[in-house]
Order: sequence, then structure tokens, then C-alpha cells
Amino acid sequence: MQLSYLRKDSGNPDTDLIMNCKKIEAEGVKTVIITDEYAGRDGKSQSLADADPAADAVVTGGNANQVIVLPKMDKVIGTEDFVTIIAGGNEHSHREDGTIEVEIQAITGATNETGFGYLSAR
Amino acid sequence: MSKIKVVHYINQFFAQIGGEEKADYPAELRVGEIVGPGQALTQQFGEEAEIIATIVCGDSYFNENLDKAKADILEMVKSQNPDIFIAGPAFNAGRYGVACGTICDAVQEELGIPAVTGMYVENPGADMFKNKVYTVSTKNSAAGMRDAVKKLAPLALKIAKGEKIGASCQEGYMPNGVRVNFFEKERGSKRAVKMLLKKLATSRLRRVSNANIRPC
Repeated sequence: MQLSYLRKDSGNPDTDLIMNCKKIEAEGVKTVIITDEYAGRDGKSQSLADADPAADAVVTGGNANQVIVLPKMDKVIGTEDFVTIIAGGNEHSHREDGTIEVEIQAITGATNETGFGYLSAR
Repeated sequence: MSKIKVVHYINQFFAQIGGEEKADYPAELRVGEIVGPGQALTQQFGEEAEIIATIVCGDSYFNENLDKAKADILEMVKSQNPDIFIAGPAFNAGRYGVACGTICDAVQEELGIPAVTGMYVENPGADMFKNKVYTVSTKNSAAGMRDAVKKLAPLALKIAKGEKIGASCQEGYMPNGVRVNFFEKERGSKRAVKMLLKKLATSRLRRVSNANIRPC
């Protein structure tokens, strides 16, 4: 039996992820987790809020806290207004030169948890 | 552009002074000299960097006179004011590895000069300092010198130039507790399937070997 377990969101779902993995493994089902990480802007924090020896196979979609500067666009479709309140953005995200500084979690799918991406972290 | 200035630290063995019987050799500054592994490093640097001085110190001397050796070597490094400090590579020589890690850490902390070292993963110096000092993973003996300097030299240049340091697996340093993003060659989905197949293969193997072990 085998299973790849995908996760979504952050915070408490970390614990859901690990608890599910632990229980599924205990049923004898080999499990691989695909997740992203929240290791902090400096990459030094613990990546997930929970851990267990049963969760011994993890594919990472990268550290969602990595900070990126998005170049100024000539044309914007939609709005940039919410970049200051979206997760990963803050009141300083709009920079004077028109660039946007955010954590990559502000970009939907940046650390894709369905494995549909090449980003990783070590 | 002027060359990046490097100060290189090695032990008595790599300075060809002697082995264990010369391990009490006190710290010595050789200005303008490139000694032992420094030659290989210099080749890798090309035109970008040069070793302006080499510090030689016996492994026993360093570890048995820790405070004095550290203070003396810091003074020597300070007098040369390099852009980067390189120690080793120490391979699997335990006291040498610990000395390399200790002095790199001190140079960074007390002089604010970036430092890099290299050693074998099981060298006790690795566990002690890999989270503080970029430590390139080398083979366990000096036979791995070529391979070691190929990683050590480029990483040292990058650090000296203040360039962004990639993930441990790209740059060749030991994982240091700092997560760094990079792009894999394969998608997450493919990596997960491969990992699952590997996990299944391992558990099958374990089952087979367990079945074979029967009491007589």
C-alpha cells in the first residue's frame, strides 16, 4: 500500500499533516509527504510546527518565508492594493521605486504543495 | 579590480614540518608565503584572489594552548587584514578540524572577517562548527585534496565578494541549519513518487531479510 499525502495551508495544519502521516503509517501504509516550509525569513527556524519519526519521507516545495523583490511592472492587471495585507506582505511591501518586497508565500502556488513545481530547499 | 586577499591556516603536517612529533609547533605567520594546500587553492582562485599570508600551527599546540594560540593567531590575521580567512581542509584529522572550526569562528566573531573551512563529515570539528562557519564537505583523507579545493575556493570567493550563497547541496557546504531555496531538476510530484518507490523498496528488502533470519 502506498500514499502520497499533500498538505495545504500553514500553522495548525502542520500538526494535522504529521498526525495523519503517523496514523496512516501505523496502518502499514507507506507515506510520503509533500509540503512547504515556514523556516523564517532567515531560514533558521523549524520548518514545520510538528514532527514525528513516522514522517520519514518529505518532499519540500521550498521555504515560503523567503523574501523576494518583484520588479516594477509597466502595466498592472487588477490591483496591487492588498499586497500590504496578504500573508507574506506588510505595510512596507510597496517600495518607493515601485518594486514590491514580499515573502514568496504572497505568490499563490509559489511553494506548490501538490508537487507541481521545481522549487525546493536544503 | 584588485585581487581578493586571503589568509590561509594550516597545521604542521600540511606545512611539511612534521607529523605527530611536531604537533607542538607554535603558531607562526608566514607573510607572502603560499604553503602546501595553498598552492592548490591558488590554482583554483585564478586571477581572482591571492594568499597573502599563511599561518601554520601545530595541532597539539593549538588545542593545548587554546587561549594563547587563538589570541596569537587572531593578532596575525588582524595584521594582514584579509578579505577572507580559509582554514584547512582538515579531512578526518580530528584536532586539526577542531582547530580550523575554532579559529574560523573566532576570526568571524572577533575580527568580523568572513571565514570558511573544509573537513570530512565525521570530523568532530564538523559537528562543533558547521552551523557557525561554512564548512565544505571533503573526503576523509588528503587524497581528496583536489575535490576539496574545487569546492572550497569558489565558495570562499563568493563569500568574500558578498555574493548570495546558494543551498548547501549546490555550494558543497554541510547543511548548517539555514534553509535556502533553490530549483530542483525534477518537479515535486516526481520527487515524491521516486521517494515513495524507494521507501517501498527498502521496506520490502527489510521484510525479505527478516524472513531469512530463522532460529536454527
